[in-house]
Amino acid sequence: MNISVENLTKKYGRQIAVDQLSFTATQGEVLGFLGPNGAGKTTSLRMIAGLLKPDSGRVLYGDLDIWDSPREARRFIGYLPETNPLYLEMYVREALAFYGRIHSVSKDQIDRTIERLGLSREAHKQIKQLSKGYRQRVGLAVAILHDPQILILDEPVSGLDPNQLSDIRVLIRELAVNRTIIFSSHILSEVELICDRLLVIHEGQRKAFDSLDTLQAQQDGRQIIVAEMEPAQNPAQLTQIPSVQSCEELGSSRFRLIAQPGQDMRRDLYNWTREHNVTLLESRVEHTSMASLFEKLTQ
Amino acid sequence: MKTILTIVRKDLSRFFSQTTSVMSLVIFYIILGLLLWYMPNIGILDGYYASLDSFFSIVPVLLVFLIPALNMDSLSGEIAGGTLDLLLIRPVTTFQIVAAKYLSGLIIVFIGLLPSLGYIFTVYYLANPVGHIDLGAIFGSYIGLVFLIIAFTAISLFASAVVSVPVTALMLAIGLCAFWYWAFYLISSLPVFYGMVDYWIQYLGLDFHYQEMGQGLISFSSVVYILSLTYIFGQLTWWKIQSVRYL
Repeated sequence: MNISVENLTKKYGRQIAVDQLSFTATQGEVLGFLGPNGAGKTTSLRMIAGLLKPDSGRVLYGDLDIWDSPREARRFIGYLPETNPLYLEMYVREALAFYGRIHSVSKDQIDRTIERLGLSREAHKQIKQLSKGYRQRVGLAVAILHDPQILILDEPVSGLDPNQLSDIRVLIRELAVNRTIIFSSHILSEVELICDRLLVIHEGQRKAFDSLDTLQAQQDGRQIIVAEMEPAQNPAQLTQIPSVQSCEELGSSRFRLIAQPGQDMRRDLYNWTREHNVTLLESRVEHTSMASLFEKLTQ
Repeated sequence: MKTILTIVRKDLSRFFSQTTSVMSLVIFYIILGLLLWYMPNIGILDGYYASLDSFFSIVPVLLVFLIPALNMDSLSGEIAGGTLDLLLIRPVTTFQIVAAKYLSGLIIVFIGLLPSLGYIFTVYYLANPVGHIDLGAIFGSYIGLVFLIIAFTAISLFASAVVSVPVTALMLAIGLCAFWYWAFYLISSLPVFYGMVDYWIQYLGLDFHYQEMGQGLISFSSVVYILSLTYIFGQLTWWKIQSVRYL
């Protein structure tokens, strides 16, 4: 089920928290939702989840306007808020059974969810006894328990150790196969690994919306290739390659080649090495890092 | 109805699994028992009459504190903890949430009052001759108590909805319950109202209707008044929870 967000706007007094935000997320996709603190991410996610009514604009789940048919729309949505609210004094299974009863979910499905989230050993513990990582899993279990078509995950990987991160990453990718997932996180490396497309917002406005590769290419401006050659070459020689503007030696026969504006060096580099009997041991296009991309887009 | 009962079941299970909640009921009982049996001059063991009059005069005072205490985090806890969001996002209506919270509050107080039925048997057998007590008045007073609980629970739930800090919700609820129970009687005694509209001002207070029912007079107007008050506070609570979506 696709999500269409059209001109979503929310004001608090004079301050515009979200300004004319529009985008679509398609089934099978994990959409990364990025922005600095206070950019309007949580407000946007709450509106998309149907928890907060926008001042203008609309949100569609498929063809269903969530504010025209709120009860029907709520059957399709699973939401993990940033604060991961849980009834701490309840037991894991008891909490899941409670939400399960509201959705008329079978006991088998509750068991499957517990197993899927790796909570079998913790199912009979009180939630307050669990570590932050396991609480995060319980929050995720509560969100996916009723098998929603749309999942909105606000900071789902905060507080997880590397092993847990890896587990949750695999789970989110699995869940995305037949769902639409909006994933918000400050851990940029995770966003890079999990998400198919990125939506970057700043001061309530959309700053970028595309795949990571496209965004990086847009930000890169010039192509940069890191290459390792045998035998070692003189950097001055490498600048003679037609589309190369400059070359920097990185040591151990490695070089960073910077292209002339708008030029693609890959073909020229390959042809040059063949002509000069140089073996190309490694060559990779270097992109703007996720962190600097984020910084550039939200400055 | 299934959704309402699901939430009620969760709330009751949470309440009775928390030591502090159960302790508040136990402390209520200890205080009530001490006042009823041992309080100088009015305690049953200090008097000559096998009657529960002192019980029915003490209980409202304790309920002004007990019901707000039992309901203080009913909604405020869910709002402050964010768990209300997880309910609002599901196919649950605001009415179902408010009705479930109200029902849970009522059930907890009624369970709390259940042991007081034991006092009837005690006094029944203490009477000389045995059984020589006014069962009609006791029945009427219990009906009055039920209506008082119905109104106090609605008021406390409203306080819990408008204030997201449980202790502040407790203070507000005690203030509102005390106001609706005593304030109109006190206002009516002002010289400016005396002999003119004092009856009608007293009529607005819950103690007026409670006293009336205690005398075995369960008038239709009292029932309508208390149910209207309950409805108004229930509606205000509904508006508050509904407004969470519009913040």
